[in-house]
Amino acid sequence: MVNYMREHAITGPWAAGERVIVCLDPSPGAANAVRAAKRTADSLDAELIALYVETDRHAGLSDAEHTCLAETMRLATQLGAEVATVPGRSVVEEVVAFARVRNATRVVVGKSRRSRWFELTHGSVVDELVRSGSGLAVEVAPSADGPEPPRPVDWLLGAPRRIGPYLEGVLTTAVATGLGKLVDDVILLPNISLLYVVPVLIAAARHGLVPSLWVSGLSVLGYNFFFLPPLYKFTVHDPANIVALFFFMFVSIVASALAARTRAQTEAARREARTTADLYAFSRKIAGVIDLYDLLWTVATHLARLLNAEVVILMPEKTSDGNGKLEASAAFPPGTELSEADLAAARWSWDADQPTGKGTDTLPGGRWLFVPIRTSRSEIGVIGVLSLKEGAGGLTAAERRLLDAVGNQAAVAVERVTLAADIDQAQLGADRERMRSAMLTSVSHDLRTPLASIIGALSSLRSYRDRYDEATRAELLDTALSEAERLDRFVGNLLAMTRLDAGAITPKREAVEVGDLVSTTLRRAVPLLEGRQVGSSVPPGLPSLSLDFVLAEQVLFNLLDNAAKYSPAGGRIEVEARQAGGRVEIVVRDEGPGIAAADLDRIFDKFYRAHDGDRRLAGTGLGLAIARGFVEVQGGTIAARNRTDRSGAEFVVSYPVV
Amino acid sequence: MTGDAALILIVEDEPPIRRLLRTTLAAHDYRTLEAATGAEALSALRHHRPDLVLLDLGLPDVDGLALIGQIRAKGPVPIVVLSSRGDEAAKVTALDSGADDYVTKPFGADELMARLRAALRHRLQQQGAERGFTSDDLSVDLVRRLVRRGAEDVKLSPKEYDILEQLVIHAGKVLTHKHLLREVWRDELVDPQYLRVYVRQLRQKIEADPSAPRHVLTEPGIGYRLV
Repeated sequence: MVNYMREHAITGPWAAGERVIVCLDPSPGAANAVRAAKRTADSLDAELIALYVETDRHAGLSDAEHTCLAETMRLATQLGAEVATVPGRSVVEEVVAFARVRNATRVVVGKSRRSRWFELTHGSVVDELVRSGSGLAVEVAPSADGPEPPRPVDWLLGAPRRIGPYLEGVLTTAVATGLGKLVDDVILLPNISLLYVVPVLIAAARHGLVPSLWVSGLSVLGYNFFFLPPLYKFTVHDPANIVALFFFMFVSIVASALAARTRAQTEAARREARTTADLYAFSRKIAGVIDLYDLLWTVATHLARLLNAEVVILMPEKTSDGNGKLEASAAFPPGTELSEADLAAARWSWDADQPTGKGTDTLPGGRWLFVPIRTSRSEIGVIGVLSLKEGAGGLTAAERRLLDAVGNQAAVAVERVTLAADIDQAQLGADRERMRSAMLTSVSHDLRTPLASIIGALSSLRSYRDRYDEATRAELLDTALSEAERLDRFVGNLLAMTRLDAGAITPKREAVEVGDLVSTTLRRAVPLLEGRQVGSSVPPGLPSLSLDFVLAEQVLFNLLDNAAKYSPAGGRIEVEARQAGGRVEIVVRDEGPGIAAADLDRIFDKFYRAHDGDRRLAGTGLGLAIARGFVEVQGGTIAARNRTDRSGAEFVVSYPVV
Repeated sequence: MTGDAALILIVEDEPPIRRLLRTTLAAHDYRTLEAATGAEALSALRHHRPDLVLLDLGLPDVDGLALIGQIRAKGPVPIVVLSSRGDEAAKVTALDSGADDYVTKPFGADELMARLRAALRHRLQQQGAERGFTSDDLSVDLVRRLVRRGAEDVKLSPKEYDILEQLVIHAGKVLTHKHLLREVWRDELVDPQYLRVYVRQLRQKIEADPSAPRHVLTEPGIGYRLV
């Protein structure tokens, strides 16, 4: 539909009832708005998008607000919403613009619990949205019950507890005073108080609000004591000086507040950047991992390092009904074990899909914190964290957010790996199925054809023996015998293939003379090669090879079998051995039709048979596959190509000289 | 062949194979005895003193390899083993524990008869009946230590001659690497590589075409055979 609108230049939003946007804000009420929006979206059968507009205020959010926002986003993801963040100056403008782009018709906003005073000065998002004339239906979600939790007094909490910054303040104020005295002696400066702004700003920029207020106080006292008449007394006589002192105090407090805020924002930005870098490094690290246990291990080690904690990842056991018990799947440090009670907490966290343990509302007495991880599609598992930091504090809010973010990435990665494994499994199943049907075709064809000849020849001999002349009888017997031998080779090949597939072939290496190998094989292949001319050339002085004679002989035998099959009657088959660098090559050439280009790649595949029109050649489709298998277990290579001098195929087996 | 027909004990649990062996052997004027299990085989051995035992390694009641040891313990009767292809290790073990030769199943009648003849001849040789080997282009006289290829005398080194002597004594039979090392070097642990080098040299001297030997044949994974 979006395409349709684009094509017809409709700017929207078009009332098609397809998408609902819920505005996120860092207040606890936002979770309610998300739930309400989910109900609305469900009743309209619409997609839900959770939108957070990152305004200037974002940098100034408290830790608690950050956590709250992260949890709301997590909730939205769990409810299947798409979560989007857009930067912007005005929430309303951005929401309207976003709704237009995504063709959303309905916006859900949490009821603000800000004071009336705040709304008068800052404006209300709800009012502005309604007034914006955007055509959006605005729904206001009720706020959560209970009073707004008291905002922690950040600036007090953030004050340094060490004495250093305060002593530094005393020092800088003293320096300012000395400097002021010096200047005062040389020239008459009316606004000597400006000098005192310097230590205030230094304190604010370096140590935050409380130290800078401390310096402000010192400065006021110092200015009064050293520069305002009567000198060296804390009294002030001139009313003008009282006003000056008051303004100085005002200026220094405002400057303190501004500088301290800048500092806080810088700090926050730096923290954010570090977190982003951590997450980026993490996501890059897990992107390439394809094995589930490697992945879990990576997640555990990474988290352990980030949080300075012991980490356990628990996942449900794999069972047929998918309801396996939760079990520890990876841990850092390795061998970390959970007590029964901890395990119970983890399972509770899994069942309730809620964080559990230290620092949460549930079972806060435990040593571990357990956080369930999930994607919108499936539940993945539980991450357990045992902080190793001094003190009983558990994770800070920032660390909790980091844990959530890493958990989310891990969940997605686990899902990716699991899906990839499922796809591999399905692919494997399909391959196996194809292989089995090829094998059944081959077995039924290659077993039945020779059996038909044997049974036919023998039964006809038994019933009509007297009617046949001697030559016919001999021919029937030869047929039965050669077909029986073919059957024997086929069964041998099947057995060899099974042993190869099972990895049950261990070459018994011995020093093998190439000439001995070639002549021994040719001797066994005599019945196969009947009616073909055979030539072999093995130069004297070839190094001996470290091979399994039996396997190497079978390789050459299968190649000769193949060559005989595709050679015309009277055609020449050549075996040539030669040294090529540090290897010895054994080449088998025939004068058959050669190999079609399309078959070159697949000729060594199991049960693959080159087709020559409709003619099906008597073969098992196993001989070359076995040849390749046997060559490779002995550390050699095999290749097929067409002859360049004439029609015909050429197989090259190459073994390293050890 | 000798005047009275040799008695051959067939130890094989599969009735069709037993029947096949019985008819084939009878057609070649051998007398036969049959046993389907190891126990029957030992009992027949006690009561009838066969001239040769044709033993299937895959018996239902006992391990064929163990049975070879038991038969050997009773006397020097030649044993020819029936075994499947692809089990070279079992063949070597059978040969090293006292079997005289093997035939790979499925086997052709010609091959079977050749093996039986060779094994029976060995029995006669041990009794001093023959001390040489003769074919169209190669003759070896062990008494006079003479080796001729066609009309030419062949000069062999002592080791080459020792190897050839073993092959001639056991003509037609396969000899394992271990057997040759034991008899020629008096040490089974010598590197078989030496054996290969000497066999190659021997072939150069006694074979018309050393790259396609007709007399000293390699049995892959097992050893050598002189035919």
